[in-house]
Amino acid sequence: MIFDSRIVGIGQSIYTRHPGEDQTVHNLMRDATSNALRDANLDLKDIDGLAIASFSISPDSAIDIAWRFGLSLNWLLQDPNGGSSAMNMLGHASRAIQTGAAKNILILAGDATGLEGYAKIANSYNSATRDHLSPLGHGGPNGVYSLVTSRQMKEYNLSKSDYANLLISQRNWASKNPYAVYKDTLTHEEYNAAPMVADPLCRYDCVPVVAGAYSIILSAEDNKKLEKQVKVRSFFQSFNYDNQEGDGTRTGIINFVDKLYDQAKLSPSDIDVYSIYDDYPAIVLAQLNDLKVIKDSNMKEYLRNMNNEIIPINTWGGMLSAGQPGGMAGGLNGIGEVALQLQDRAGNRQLNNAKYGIVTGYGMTLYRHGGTVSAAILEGE
Amino acid sequence: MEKLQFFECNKCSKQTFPKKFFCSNCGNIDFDLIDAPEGKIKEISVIRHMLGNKDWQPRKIANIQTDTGVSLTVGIEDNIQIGDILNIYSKDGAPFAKK
Ligand SMILES: [Zn+2]
Repeated sequence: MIFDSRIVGIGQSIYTRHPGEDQTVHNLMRDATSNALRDANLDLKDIDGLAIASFSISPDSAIDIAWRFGLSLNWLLQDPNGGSSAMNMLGHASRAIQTGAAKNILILAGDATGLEGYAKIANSYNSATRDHLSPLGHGGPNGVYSLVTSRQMKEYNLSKSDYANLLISQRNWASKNPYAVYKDTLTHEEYNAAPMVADPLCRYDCVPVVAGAYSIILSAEDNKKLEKQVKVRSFFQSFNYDNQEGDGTRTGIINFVDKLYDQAKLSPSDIDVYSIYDDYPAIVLAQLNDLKVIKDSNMKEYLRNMNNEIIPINTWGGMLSAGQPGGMAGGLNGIGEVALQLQDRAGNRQLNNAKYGIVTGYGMTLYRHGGTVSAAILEGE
Repeated sequence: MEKLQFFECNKCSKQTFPKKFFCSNCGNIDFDLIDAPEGKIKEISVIRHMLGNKDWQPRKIANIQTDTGVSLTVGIEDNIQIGDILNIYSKDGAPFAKK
């Protein structure tokens, strides 16, 4: 199915490592919503669908947000799929607009768990984590992906310092994103000297948890203020692709990668900009590899070449530099950033002639690695 | 410590951990509980930092793989190295590997 919905509005709240008393998840979501509505040139009463993802609105649900935000709706969705929830919401909302179930859907995500709240979520993420990983002191996802990263290093002959260029590139982008929590540039020396968190992952390899919210509005009609409309040209997902029996160095993208490009009538070389879900550098590389972006799967050379070129990956800085407001808003931020690039609205981060972008979501660490992955090709025209 | 229990499909003998409700190989729903076989340490990590815990002491976890094709994450003592063949025990249901 080729979707005809457009991304007509984008808005975000402040991202902060240390939220003040009034920076609650509801307030941050309100701010993101206000900004997205203004950007879309729409009023609250124009919104007839709401998709929402958040770890920290509990005990509230999507309908509570609808009520408290004064939204009267035909269509409602709450998505709990962590790093894949933003993409999941984009897919469901696109189909809802395609079928006429709703005309203007507000897709909203945000979290303000605080570090202790986040630690609680990380240690009881699912029953397997609660029962079989947390008692080991596995350190949440850092422990899980430290082992995945070690496997990737072995399989692709990478050394720890090879990863630096990806982090440095994203930090360079973050320096141009006013919302990013870390904007200082990063050097190889700083990366190599950084304290280990869970070997081989150092501080710069682990996402900084922030409080924040992000919102996009999907519509059946153009935003007439915008010169370019962004549409979803191709959208595929994979859930539990390997029963956790693989080693986590491949993702479910391998199940649909050819269909992803075929449906958009494009090939990997046509893509101008990428938002690759970046909970960990190894997972960015695994997804790029499965998307056939890395020539001959030679990750070492790919990373080395990052030194010399502007790499249009995670041009908002990604979660690794800009911050992770839960996994959910982080995923939505990636979608919004590609839309801004394709609409020529990315400010001093703007790439030249960006027409096609790929966005992904990855998440739901079941036991040994993530169980969900989604990818879409967006087009600006 | 008691040996960790694996779940073995009583139709096709595929082993799994943690518990599943259908065998991913044959769809059977009946499993026998068996003692986990020995496994080989494949990767090791040192958890040096724990969110929300200021007094954290570093400890090691590892990926261990059995000859029967099960990979799982275990706690290990400091002197364990990659390639070691270890027995897998249960500490209140959490897997821990020892010589
Ligand atoms: Zn079976």
